[in-house]
Amino acid sequence: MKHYLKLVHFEIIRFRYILLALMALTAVLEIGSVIYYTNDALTIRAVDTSYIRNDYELISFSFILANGQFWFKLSMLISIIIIGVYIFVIWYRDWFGRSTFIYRLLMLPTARFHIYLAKATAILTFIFSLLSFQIILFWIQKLIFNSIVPSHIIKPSYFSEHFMTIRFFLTILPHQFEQFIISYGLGTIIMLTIFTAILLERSFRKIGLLYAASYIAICSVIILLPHVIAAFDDEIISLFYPNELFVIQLFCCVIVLLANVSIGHYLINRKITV
Amino acid sequence: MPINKSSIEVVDLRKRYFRKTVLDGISFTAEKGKITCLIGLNGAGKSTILKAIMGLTPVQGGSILIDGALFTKASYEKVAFVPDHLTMPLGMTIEAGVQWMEQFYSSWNMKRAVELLSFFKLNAADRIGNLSKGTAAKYNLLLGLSQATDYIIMDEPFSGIDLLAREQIAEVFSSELIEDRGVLITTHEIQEMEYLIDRAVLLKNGVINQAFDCEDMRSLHSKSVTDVMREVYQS
Repeated sequence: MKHYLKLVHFEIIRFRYILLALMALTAVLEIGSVIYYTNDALTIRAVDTSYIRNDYELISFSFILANGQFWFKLSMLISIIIIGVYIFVIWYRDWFGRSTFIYRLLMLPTARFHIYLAKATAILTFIFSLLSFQIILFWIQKLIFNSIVPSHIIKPSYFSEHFMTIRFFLTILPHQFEQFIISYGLGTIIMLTIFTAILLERSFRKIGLLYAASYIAICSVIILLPHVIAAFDDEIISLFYPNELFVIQLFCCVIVLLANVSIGHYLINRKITV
Repeated sequence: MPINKSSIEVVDLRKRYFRKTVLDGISFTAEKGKITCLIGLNGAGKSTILKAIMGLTPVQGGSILIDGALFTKASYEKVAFVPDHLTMPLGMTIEAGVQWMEQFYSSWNMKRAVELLSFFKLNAADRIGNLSKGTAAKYNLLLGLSQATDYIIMDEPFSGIDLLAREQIAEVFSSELIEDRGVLITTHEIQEMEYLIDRAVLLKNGVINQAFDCEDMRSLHSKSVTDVMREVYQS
């Protein structure tokens, strides 16, 4: 356990600059967008903000978010792409280059599966750090908005409204806790599937590429089983209630999760090669 | 086969890459307190044997025994491995790498690491990525020797480094740092090492062609290791 925590700490240290760079980029794009569109809205109402004729002329923070949603989506998309790439980089950088750190990792006097778990934990830490930063950033942006716009023309809005404004936010930060668990649980399973596929490739090299691609295909089919069946025969699916379909899908996800963990455990202990 | 206590024992090691047999039933022993040299032409499988001992590559058969017991994760506290290339992240400093090792190995001897830093004249603040080949070899050796292990395995420690660095590394072999340990080494620079090694194991075509005590070979047959190599590899 102690070694596992040390490995997690080490992996976090390794991506700290990428994380900080992404945070900085997100802050610049989003705060820049808020400042620009707030000033823009003020310019349009222009003239004399001391006299507001009707409610339509009030400015809400949600309105500013809606106007600048391209920049919000862009910053989040960049973060998602970087995290997606980093899922591969976190493994492959230990094999390639002048230094092969995987030698050192595999020779640690600890359970090798800790390496697998530490890398997975590090990626989740990466994701949740960005997510937390995004929430803090909303608060900062609202403060900036409030400081630019005269208080008598601010239309009050709530955080829930902000998320509704840009529907993309709802995917990243769902309103319901159950949905949050499902989204991030599924995301974790996908990440572990890629981890196991990488280990297949690293264990069997050229033929391992084929194993990895097949493994990802099989896992995708299992996770999407109800949808796959529906594509072939809609009638079978119509025999189930929605909550029954949910349980089936949940069961499929648990199978994939167990497969990822057990195959990953086996590969890193028995088949991995430097 | 009798199990030899206080040794690394390789028993019937078999390894294939697809259809090509690389190791075909390799068995030998590297005893504690002795320097055993694994000799073979390029591609003979020397590095593969070392990696197999350290569990860094899977094998199709055979076993590795450390002091008569099967190799486990705890064996990494008993056997240190010095590969022929860097194994620490390039962005780290020499000092950070040493501290990283201390965090994970209970066998880590920080006092010795500091002594070796000064012996090899390494600058603790240097980035590992900026080290020259010779300095990298010394740093690798420092990481291996600073673990208070019973055995140390080295893969080509003299490979591609200049004369002075080579002399400095050779000096380590006759020092107390090595004295009581079992050393298993592969090298192409056999002339440089010949007077230091106790036992030679010659690999040819995936099997052990000869394994002998160097002193016996010199006194009983008046042959050096190089002479035996010529017989084996030029025949």
